[in-house]
Amino acid sequence: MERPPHFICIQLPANPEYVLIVRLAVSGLANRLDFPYEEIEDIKLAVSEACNSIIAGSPPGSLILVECDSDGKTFEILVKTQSVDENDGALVPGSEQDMGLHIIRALMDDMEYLAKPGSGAVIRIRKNMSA
Amino acid sequence: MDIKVDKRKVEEGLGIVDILGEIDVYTSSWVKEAIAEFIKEGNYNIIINLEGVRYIDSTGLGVLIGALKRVKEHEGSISLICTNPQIKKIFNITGLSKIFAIYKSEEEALAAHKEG
Repeated sequence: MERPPHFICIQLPANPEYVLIVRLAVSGLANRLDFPYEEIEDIKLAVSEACNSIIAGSPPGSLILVECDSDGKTFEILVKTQSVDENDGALVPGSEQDMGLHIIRALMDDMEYLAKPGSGAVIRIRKNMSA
Repeated sequence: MDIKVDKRKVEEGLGIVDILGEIDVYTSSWVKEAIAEFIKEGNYNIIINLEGVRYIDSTGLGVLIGALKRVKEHEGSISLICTNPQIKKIFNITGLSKIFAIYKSEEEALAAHKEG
């Protein structure tokens, strides 16, 4: 399948040690997409918080997947437990009680958090790009 | 490890913690341990210098809240030194700017402590 030019995908162990790598890669892509400095910092924090949350909700020893894409108008980042299918009908809206999810909501234009208790979760975040 | 925590005793019961690096889900346990140890040594009034911190996430904020809870048990205080607008923004978003006194410099934080 042909991928859009800005698509990047990172697979990593569900381990806090690796969140730094995601942060660096995603901020590099946001820079390539010409986001201003302040928004790059916001995206960095939002994607890290999404990883923290997904790692916390993933079974031990699992992998997480981070997919980034842009259509020129929106920058979209999907963070999920690798074994969870984001189109699975059994996913239900997760609890947004924790501070990390509150931070994502405040910094991004849109966030969707779906979970399958015991199996993992999916967080999709979107940031609009200025014209 | 992309984090460095230095502790300085200013006077009996008052100390400064200088943090350098990124406080995230991985490094926050080191920061938590260092501050907890400092509190155990009787430093119940602590100024945490975040001027060398390039990044903080919710787990880092959780460490600061935890430290505040512990010093409050001894009628102590935690104040912060922070001028980085990006980090101050996180304190504003989470409402923590109302809980922590945030100063622009060590001198300002020490002066506020003396005024009580």
